[in-house]
Amino acid sequence: MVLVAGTGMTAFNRRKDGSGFRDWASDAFEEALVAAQIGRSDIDALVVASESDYFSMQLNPASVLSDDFGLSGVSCQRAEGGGASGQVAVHAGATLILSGLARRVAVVGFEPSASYLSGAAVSELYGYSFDAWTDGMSGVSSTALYALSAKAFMARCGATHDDFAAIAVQNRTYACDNPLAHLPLEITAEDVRDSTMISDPYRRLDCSPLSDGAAALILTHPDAAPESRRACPRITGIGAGSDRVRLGDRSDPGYFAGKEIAARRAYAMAGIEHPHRQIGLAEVYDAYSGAQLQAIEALGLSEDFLAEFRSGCFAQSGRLPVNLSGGLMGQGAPVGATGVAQAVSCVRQIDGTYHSGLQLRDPPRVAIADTHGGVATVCAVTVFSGEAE
Amino acid sequence: MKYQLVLDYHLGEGALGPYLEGLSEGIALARQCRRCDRVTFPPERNCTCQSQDNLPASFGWKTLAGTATIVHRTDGLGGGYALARFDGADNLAVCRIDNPDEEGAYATLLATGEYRPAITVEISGEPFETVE
Ligand SMILES: [Zn+2]
Repeated sequence: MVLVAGTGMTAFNRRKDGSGFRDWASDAFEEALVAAQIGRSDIDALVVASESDYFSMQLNPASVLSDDFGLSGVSCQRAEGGGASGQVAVHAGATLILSGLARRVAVVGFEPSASYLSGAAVSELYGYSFDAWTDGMSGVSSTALYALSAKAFMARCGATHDDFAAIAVQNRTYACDNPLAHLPLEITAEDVRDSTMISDPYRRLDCSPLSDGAAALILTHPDAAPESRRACPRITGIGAGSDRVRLGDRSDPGYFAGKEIAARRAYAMAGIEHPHRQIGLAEVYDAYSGAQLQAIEALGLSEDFLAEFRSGCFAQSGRLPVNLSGGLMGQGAPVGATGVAQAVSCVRQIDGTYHSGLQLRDPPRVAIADTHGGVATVCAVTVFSGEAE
Repeated sequence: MKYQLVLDYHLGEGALGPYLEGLSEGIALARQCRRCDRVTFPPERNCTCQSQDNLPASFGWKTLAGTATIVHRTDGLGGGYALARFDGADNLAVCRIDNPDEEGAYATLLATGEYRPAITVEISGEPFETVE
């Protein structure tokens, strides 16, 4: 068990103020450090999440950030798993503490996915985050691969684009109450259906944006947090798993099998036997609207996910609210920061300190964060819990 | 500040060499496991039978007809792409569709030349049934 003593995150958006990723990372780190009520000299390790040097023009970013943060001398490393990078870094940080190698770890994720390069350049680079040697060389976009997976999912379970559009609307609606969100939009399903077709079934409003931003956590051993922070939310389970990298090599290209493996491992560590009954909140990886439904299925959040989704089980007022932050589609997606920000949302919800319009009246006792890289190829799931009774 | 980076790669093709050379000429060269006969296009480096029993397997190349059936298809701003099963292959391939205005259920491999070889197909036949 690992305490999350402090959290911090910047707004996710397209920066137009001339600031850079080192500014955002420092802002997120300082906020988390203050919240944790510890000094920087108490930190003994730094884990940095960033997907690609192509985006940042900085190899070995952990070396730069440890210096910027005034942490020179700490153990530092970068964690990377494509879109899962943020959550992979959370796992790396937690593992340092669980193994006894560190007592207080800063985990900082960042990505300048919006303002540094053109959208076309970022999209081309994303194409190489699948199997660059086969699929990537065809010029296939991330959206097209997710669309092919969604088609297989729809054909198997009967989900329709109307379901996807409802998710696209819902996540943007939640983002309206999240002052840090990139896409707070008041839209209808008709707006989604009328937006430009990118790769059917996915239209522009079914896609998550490219965002700039950073997020940070201070993790501590239970004995290493200041007395005032010992009742803070904790990480009780981490689990990772993987799937065949190419959709065509999977027995069902529409099922996120690697995510199921990651979730099972995280639940086992946290002692969760009935995820659909024991989990009170989930932040899942909605790179595309349909991927949110595919995630709900693979994470075992329901025994009949499509019917439960249609009846509102995963809405703010439902049994298990999903992506109240707005998710990637609403809050935004600065890749390395995404998974760390999911953790921030889960911890603040459990703590009862989330954005007022989105804070659950009865804070969840157990929340999960779920991210993946590729089309659910590298998967990482983290379980957060309130103070043990 | 402004900054431009231009990179010109010469990528080592390794085990994929024959496959990539085949694509540049429009030949569907699949990899076949000599133990369980599984045929993969695009080729898998490991065979599923190895994952099961961890015993060594050896592989050979097998030339397929280059014809395929569309299983799933997507179209939009970035062009048309499909998951298709090449005749004789046990896995599916992501294919770029060269003639996206056609809606047929069948595909034939095209030669892509030496620059950036990738599975590119021409569509033909009766319309493909898709899910909405
Ligand atoms: Zn075999």
